Amino acid sequence: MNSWRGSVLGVLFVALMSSILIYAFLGYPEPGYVRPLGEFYLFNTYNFENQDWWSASPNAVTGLLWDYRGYDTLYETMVFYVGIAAVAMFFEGHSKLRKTGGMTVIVRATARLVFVFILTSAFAITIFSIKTPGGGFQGGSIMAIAYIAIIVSLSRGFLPEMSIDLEKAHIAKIVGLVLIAGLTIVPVLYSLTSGSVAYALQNQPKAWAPFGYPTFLGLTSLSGGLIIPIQLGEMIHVGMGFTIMFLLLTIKEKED
Amino acid sequence: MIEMIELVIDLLLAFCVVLTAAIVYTKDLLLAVILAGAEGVLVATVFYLLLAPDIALVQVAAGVGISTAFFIVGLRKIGRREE
Amino acid sequence: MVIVTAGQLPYILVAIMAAICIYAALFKSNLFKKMLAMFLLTDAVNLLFIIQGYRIGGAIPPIIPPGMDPSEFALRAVDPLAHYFVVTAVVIGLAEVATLTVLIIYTYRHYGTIETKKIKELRG
Repeated sequence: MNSWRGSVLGVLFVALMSSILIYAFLGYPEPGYVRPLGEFYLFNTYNFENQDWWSASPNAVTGLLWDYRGYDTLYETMVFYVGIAAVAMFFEGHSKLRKTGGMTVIVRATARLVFVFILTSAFAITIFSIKTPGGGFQGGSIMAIAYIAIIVSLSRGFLPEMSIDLEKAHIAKIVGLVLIAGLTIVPVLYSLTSGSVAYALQNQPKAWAPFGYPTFLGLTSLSGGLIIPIQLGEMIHVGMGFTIMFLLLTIKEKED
Repeated sequence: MIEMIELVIDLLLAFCVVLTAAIVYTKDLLLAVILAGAEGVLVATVFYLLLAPDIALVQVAAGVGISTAFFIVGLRKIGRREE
Repeated sequence: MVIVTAGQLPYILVAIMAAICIYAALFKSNLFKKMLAMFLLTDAVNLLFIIQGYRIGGAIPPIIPPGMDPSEFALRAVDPLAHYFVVTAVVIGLAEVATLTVLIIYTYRHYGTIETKKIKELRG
């Protein structure tokens, strides 16, 4: 009898909550209305006549991530770093490594082959993120999947042979962060030494601030300015962060 | 006027609601984790049909691949199956 | 009174999904179920952002094809601001799931159980 009362109460609660939420969500206008700020970003992101406010990338989302809203992405990277530190704080001490175990030979050989392909795909998705959909976060998540496949199919004693160690992963993550921080500070150093105005995280030259990263290789092919190198740093940071979290979770305890 | 794409999106979203109710109702935690992975694939398909290719990439890689791996590794250390 | 048309059916379905997740997060007594419900709640809210940013009448994704006029692109493309928020939200949601998993393992090591009713009785 108690379970019937509990489930009827549950259905009533869901009905009440969903009616409140429907009333709130229907306040949105019908699809078809775009905010004026969104239209400004769409109009100016690859506009050859208005080179004061353009970010030289045909992909509007990538231009938003690292040129128009670059500071938000920088602070989000800091939040992710704090999350990794919170996970790393709980696990102290080292586990004993055994060389036996793991999965069968077929799975291990396939994992080693697939690892190379997935890394190449993640690299390609990050580098061509100006013209096609992609970017740092996408490439980093895909890179983490390659490392997770290796960790799951091999036993933990084999991992230092494949140079996947906890200290090396930490060092690689720091290399990615240093790349991001360095590219942010370069315009500030330029403005201090040459006396003109330049902003941190500046991508293209403006009429009153003549500093810009190289945009065109030759005459027609885009080279991305600031956006491509800083997305490489973000890919390394995100990918290595997920790998570190997964490595820490698979430490064997005494009763497992 | 309802087009073809709107019908398909409504169908996929209704299936997502059914899957969410099944995840809440079941008592087997391993089944709940696998159904959550299936729902991630459906949500990624809805993202693709709404013309958002960047988000479909992140959802498939992070919401289906890495998240299921974390959950299953976490389930090894807790009382494994029943709620 | 609120008028509901057929073009707003996706909003209603997403609202039902969010309501089921909120019920599970409040009233289920297993910690793992609560964490799974939080994860699905972020999925539902991200869906809401993307549904709101769609354009009717010949929509194209927010990547300008070569040789298109910028003013026509601004009239037809999908809203890029919504995409920007959802990309960061998915990655941050995954970091949140990892932190919650670690906290649940810690609680299990300390109390020996992960049901909130039994933890209330133990008072360790």
